[in-house]
Amino acid sequence: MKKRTEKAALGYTVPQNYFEDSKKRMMQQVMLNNKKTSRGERFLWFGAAASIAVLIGLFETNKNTPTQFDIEFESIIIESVVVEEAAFNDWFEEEYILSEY
Amino acid sequence: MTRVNEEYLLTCLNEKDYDAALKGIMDLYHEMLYWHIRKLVVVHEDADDVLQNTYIKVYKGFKNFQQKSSLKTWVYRIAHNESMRHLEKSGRKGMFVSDEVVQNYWSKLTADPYFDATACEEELHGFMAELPERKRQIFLLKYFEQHTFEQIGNLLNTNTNSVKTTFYALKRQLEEKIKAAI
Repeated sequence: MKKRTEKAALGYTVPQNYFEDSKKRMMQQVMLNNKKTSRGERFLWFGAAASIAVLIGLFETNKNTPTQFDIEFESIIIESVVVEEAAFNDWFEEEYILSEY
Repeated sequence: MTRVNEEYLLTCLNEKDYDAALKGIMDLYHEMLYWHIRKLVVVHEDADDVLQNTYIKVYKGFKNFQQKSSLKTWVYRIAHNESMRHLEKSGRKGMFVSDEVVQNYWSKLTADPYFDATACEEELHGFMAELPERKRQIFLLKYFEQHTFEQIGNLLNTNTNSVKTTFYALKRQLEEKIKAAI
């Protein structure tokens, strides 16, 4: 079978210079998005760190030393609560799915 | 001038130069990713949005990339998942195809200013519009993008043999349809 060129396949076309223009535009958008996320992440990590500190304090008071697993589990649960509903899918994907490949 | 290839991209990632890594990915795979997404989501504007989201995810995911697969496969899978998420939102992802879904496929396609098909290509779209999403993906990935069955299996998290069987069954179905049309 003769190989069809990508552009001809199925009648799909794109605007002129789309690939060159879109590369620049998308790169800028990623950078912009990254700046916004960095600020949000700092707040998130501060919240998570504070929560972990409180938890550790509570455990110490009760004389029950939590295991490393307990701390990690609690921190991830707390972190998931702090994440906004709209951003949860992205957060979940970043924490679990992207790291699996 | 630095030659951009997979090895160069991995060096960028190891040095945590994520901006250069993303730029390199765009230089290498931009068009390929676009066409992969476009064939799944159909409309140009949607493909553009999905591709943008893919790059955002890729950039965020760099720090977690563990090199268990090639960077190309990893990026491809993110693009694929983003496309699926888009289809889910627009209610097109499912096991069965209703008349409404077929109608929706056609109305979206013909409304897109960046669609200009020959009669034969329209026949092919007619065939694909009636396929459940999963089968359509297998058909597109093999027939138009010439991935190996193993690659498709990895991408869709499916057994290679069932991918192979599905593809050949679809091919036969398409041949019969074309014969009937002639």
